[in-house]
Amino acid sequence: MERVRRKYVLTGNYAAAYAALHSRVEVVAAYPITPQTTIVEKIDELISKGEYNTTMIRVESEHSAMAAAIGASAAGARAFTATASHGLFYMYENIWWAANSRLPVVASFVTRALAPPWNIWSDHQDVYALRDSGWILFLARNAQEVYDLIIQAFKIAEDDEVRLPVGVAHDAFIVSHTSEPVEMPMQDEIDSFLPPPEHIKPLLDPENPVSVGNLPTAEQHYMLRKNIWDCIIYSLSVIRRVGREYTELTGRNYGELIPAYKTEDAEYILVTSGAMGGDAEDAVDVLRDMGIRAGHLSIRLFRPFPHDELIDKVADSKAILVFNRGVSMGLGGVITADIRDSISKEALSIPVYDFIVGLGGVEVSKDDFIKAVHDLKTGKLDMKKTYYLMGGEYV
Amino acid sequence: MTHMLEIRWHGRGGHGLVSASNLLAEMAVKKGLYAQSIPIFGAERRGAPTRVFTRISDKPIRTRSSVKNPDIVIITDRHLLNIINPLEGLKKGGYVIINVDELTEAERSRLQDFKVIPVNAVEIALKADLKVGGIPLVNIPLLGVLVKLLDFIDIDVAEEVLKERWSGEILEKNIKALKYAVEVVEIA
Repeated sequence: MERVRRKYVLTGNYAAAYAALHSRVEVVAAYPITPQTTIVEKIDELISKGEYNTTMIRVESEHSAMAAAIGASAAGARAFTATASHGLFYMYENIWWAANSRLPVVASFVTRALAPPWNIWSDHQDVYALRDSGWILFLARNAQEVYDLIIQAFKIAEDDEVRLPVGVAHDAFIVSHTSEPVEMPMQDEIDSFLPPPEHIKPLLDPENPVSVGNLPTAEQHYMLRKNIWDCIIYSLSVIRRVGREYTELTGRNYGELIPAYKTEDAEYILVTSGAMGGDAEDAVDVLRDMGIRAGHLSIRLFRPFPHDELIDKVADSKAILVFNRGVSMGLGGVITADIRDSISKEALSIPVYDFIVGLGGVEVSKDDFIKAVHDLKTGKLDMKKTYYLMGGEYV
Repeated sequence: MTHMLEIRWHGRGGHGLVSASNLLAEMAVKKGLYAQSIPIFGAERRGAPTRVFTRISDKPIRTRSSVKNPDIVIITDRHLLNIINPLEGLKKGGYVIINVDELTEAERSRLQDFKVIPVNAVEIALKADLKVGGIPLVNIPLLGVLVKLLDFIDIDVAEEVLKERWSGEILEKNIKALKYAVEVVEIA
């Protein structure tokens, strides 16, 4: 059946704002000064027009923004916040507080480089710092994915067997300030997909008093982290189920956690995350026109890492080239390490090559990917090295 | 459309290029096409050279890197020709829409490989009383040139998009400026 849709030309930031409000979020807490984004500005504007029944709490710092979201979520409210780079790092202590308290907070992160020197452009280093916390983390490729993933994020976070915070990240400017068409389900469709917040079991319940943040034994702390491990591993099945339900609602494919492009018969697989995925797909088409069987995978779900799906999609390839917008200093690309972990767990012998691109907002375009594949094919690359590739040249 | 149309806007901070590019993208989407508008934010302030990219296609647009080989270049300030190279990568036979009263001989020879559409956007803005802080806004007059040039956009959809953005007196001035541009510009 053909359904009437809402379609607007929106920036990634506005898409995030609409997604939070369409999810009937009850509390938004934010600090309004740099590096805050237009996400909360738009939310505030729409609330002030009286269009949504959402409370905006303006706090004095990002640390407090997450604290307020934690408080609201602990009381059983649907809570949301947004930040970027230094704001995220100022929030960092409470990022862990949210995860260890098992609170279904949802946040939108605009990925930006960290100072010094000051830089407002895209770099995934800020979000990679959340990797080990227990947050479920997505990296969106475009404004449509920002919108779709935030709606799904609430449903995943609030699942009784998951109960973990979810972050949806998107690249500064390349997604955050780029305007493009975004299709949205009608509100009644979203309401039938995402149950009203009343179903959220409050952590703080006068009928069932508990102590949160007390000083437990070492063993209790160990088991708390082990429980988070069990739940985040289990969340893979929830993320897939929610993705399939959302696919049914919208026709857009969220059954995959690692969207694939022409990988079925690919010898060379490019792996990226976030906004550079589109240009990587352009590169795949150029390479295929030259007779080189290339394919592309976008790591849309970063944590928990979708190991099984990755292996399914790379098992028959000849080589994997991973392009990271963030580096673990002294080791290599952050996502490269994840891919190598998966390859090693399956005792596969597919070589994995490590590239660092786009730091500090440097442009990544199809020429970078094409050069990497050519150099690999002509035997110029060493698997033990980390290649810094900027503007089609190694630096 | 047979290929993706790529437009590169060159102006200065404060010229309203981001708005004009976004409005064009909205018009294209209303016509059932796909579009993308990418502003390039640097450390610029009002008056510094800025760039904005618009892509329009009949297929979803996945490319997000900068526009390197535009079909159309729009220049809001002729002096930019001497400061940066707004023509870099412009396809041979591509369009240059430039805000000038009259082109100089030197400018004519510089632009000889391209189809040039000179338009006095300042005069159009003043005629429509479209000003911000006393300074004429050239973005809507230049957008008007595109409305006339691009066969998949028409004045009705342009007006519809402007009506969603503004209302009252401001809307009237913007529509006036757009229509003046459509009327006066000559496309060879």
